[in-house]
Amino acid sequence: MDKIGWGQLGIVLALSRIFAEAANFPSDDINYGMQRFTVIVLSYILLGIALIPVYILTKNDASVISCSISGKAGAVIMIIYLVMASVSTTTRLQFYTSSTIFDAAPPWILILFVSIVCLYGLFKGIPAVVRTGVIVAALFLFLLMAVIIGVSDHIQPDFLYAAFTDRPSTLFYDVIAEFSKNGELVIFALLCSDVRKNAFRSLYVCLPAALGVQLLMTFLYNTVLGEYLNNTSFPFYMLSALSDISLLQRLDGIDVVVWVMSAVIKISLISLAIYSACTKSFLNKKGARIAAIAALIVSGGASLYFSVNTNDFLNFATILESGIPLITAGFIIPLCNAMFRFLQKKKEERYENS
Amino acid sequence: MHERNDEMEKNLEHNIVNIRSLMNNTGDLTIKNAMVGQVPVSILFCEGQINTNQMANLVFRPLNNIGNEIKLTGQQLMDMIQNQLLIAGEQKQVSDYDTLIMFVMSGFTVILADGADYGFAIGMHGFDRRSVKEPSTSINLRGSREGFVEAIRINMSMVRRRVKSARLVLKTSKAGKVSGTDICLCYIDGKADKKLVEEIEARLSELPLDMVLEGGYIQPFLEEKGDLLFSEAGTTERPDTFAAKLWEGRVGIIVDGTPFCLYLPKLFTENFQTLDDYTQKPVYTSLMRILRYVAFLAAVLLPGFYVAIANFNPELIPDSLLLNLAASIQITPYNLMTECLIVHIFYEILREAGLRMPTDLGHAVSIVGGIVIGDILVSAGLVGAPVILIVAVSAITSFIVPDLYNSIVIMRFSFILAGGMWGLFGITITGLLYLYKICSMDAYGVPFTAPVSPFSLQAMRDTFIRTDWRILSRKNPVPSDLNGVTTEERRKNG
Repeated sequence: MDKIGWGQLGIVLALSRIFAEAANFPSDDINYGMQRFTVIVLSYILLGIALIPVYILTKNDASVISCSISGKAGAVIMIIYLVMASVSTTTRLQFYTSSTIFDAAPPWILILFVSIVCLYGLFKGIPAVVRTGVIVAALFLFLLMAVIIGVSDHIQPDFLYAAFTDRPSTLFYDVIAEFSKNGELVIFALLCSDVRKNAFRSLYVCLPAALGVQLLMTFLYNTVLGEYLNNTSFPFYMLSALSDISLLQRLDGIDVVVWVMSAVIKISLISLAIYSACTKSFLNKKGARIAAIAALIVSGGASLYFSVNTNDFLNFATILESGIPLITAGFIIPLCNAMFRFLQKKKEERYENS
Repeated sequence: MHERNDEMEKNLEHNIVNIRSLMNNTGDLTIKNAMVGQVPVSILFCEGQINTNQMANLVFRPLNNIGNEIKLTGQQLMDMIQNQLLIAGEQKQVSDYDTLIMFVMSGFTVILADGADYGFAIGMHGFDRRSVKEPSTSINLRGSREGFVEAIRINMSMVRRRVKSARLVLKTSKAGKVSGTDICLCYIDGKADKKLVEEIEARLSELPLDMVLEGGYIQPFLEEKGDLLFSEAGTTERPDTFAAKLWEGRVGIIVDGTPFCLYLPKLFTENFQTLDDYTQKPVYTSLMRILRYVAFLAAVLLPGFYVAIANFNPELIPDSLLLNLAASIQITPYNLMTECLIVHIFYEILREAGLRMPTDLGHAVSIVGGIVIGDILVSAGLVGAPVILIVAVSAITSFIVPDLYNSIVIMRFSFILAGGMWGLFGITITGLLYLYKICSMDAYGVPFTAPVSPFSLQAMRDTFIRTDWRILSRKNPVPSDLNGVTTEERRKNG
């Protein structure tokens, strides 16, 4: 399989991460106010701290974090997490699209078509998905610029106010919930072996880019939507609906197009990560492909179920937002793999010296 | 009975009988018998393929000058022809029937003598050929007016005239087991990747075709399997474009019998480049390049996008325009998707008719198509005027990128169907399928979407914009620079 560049993977992971910002679930009850700046920054600091040991252990070869040292159990945990992330993404996309401009479309059509494209992406391989992702990221940047230009007249810095109005416990839960949205780390752990070299640099691109865009979006939410922000389900969608660039009266249709594309890229990446986890641990290529297809079917089926059982999805989302699945699949297992490899390397060096 | 690959004999009579038999007594084989130096001699050629004046001056006259006063053996006569007579530039010794027949059918004259088990093939092609004219495609404002013709040798000379360097390699071979078509592989040594040249040579040598009548016959064998929409092989009718592509590290293939030459690999962004881009000011060129990309997107997406927005999301359209659209939609009996498909199918039929029918009748088709059908469709209320406008715009814009016309038509129809049935969601899903398809393509190890994704800053100076020649002339990126692998990595990997 062809290798990809670290920059490409970094951009696509950032795009995937930003999708979580746009297509939040209406009942997530996210506080988009000024405190969100603090929440975003703190969640990234926490992420950075958690990545330090992994970085130290893997600075020469990031692919060790996706090795099969933790065995089949590790791979299964990662796959379960990825399937959960895929279910969450598909469900959020379905809610987002049917709550915005595709209100008449039945959920099964949305889910089926998205799954078909992801399946096609799975067959086309990681270079195709990542190259497409870079083009979609460019489209997103164009949209963001168009929205900024479109709403520039509405920006009112008066709406900015001092943060820390909430209790520390609320802040803590918000930070953990925000931190737990970084499922891209698991994808990175499994796909970094497909990066040509310097795979860890992908995170140098992904994390600052995602952080910067999220802060910019939060700034726009607060300064444009002001006091209406708390009544808005999808703030970025609202911003694009307010944008008028002459050619199109509003950009919300384009906004949804971009987020559908981002979601498909994210689910395709998840499918490829599942394929990668299977091939590295316990299955041949054919078996791994079947497993990835099965994961897509499970994800689609679960999303279809959640589309009519919203409360069940909220319970499901609570598990993901607790941060425990991400910490297990995104940090503990890769860290264990890296430590095992590190110790093994030391042992081999000692043996060679003796 | 002799086989084609048998060696010739010393007996001229036997040789002639065998040749006639192996060529199935074909009617265009002409054999002139004579006595030269008291040796029976036969001159073989295919009627209509040789220049008779040249033959009289360069073959008959020198042989007559030898006369019959002196007595020679067949071997001595052949030695004399080879060493003492300057007959023609192209003079090759042939000793087996297969080669001899191939030369005769390629427009060579072959001299055989009794007592010699070989002959001489002398090049004096004289078949009627089209003169060099301005190419019918890829018209440019500035630059050469010469276009390739059907004769391979003339095409090779046109390339050579533009690249007078020993680094330009022209390798000739045959393709097609029955047609025996001459093909010429061209590349610039040091520019084209050696692996690329070897790979193309290997593919050409394994062609399973019996007949090769045009470059399009061999093109699928040079592309990856399953590339049904886009091509990794480019075609050009212009020798200057061909030479420029060779300098950019591409490998060219000239096929006898067609003015369209192939070059490989071709990247997606190359569809948006023309020769005029390099002769005009960079600012204007850059603007034109961007317009070409916009035109491509309009040609592919505009009808589908219009159908999707007008059907499902009219709120995106400015109010004043929306009122006009609503008025026209109300008076037509069909839905927008059907209208759009009807007009597009009409347009494609008219285009196809205009292309195939005699040129003189083309004007009649234009009148019938453009005025009668177009006008009546609207005035009869079958189709709304906005749809005609949208189709016209997308039709015109599709000609701005002629190399992608076929792909544009297929994509346009699919976007109309997707937009009509599922709105913007359908457009998005279809667009993603195409993006995955395009992004998965590799042209001989170079991603088809390079230098956009994977991104190459160096190549960007001649992608969406075209920088000044002073910058372009610094280092010309070749395909192997665009596969996302840095020079340092390539060096490490050997």
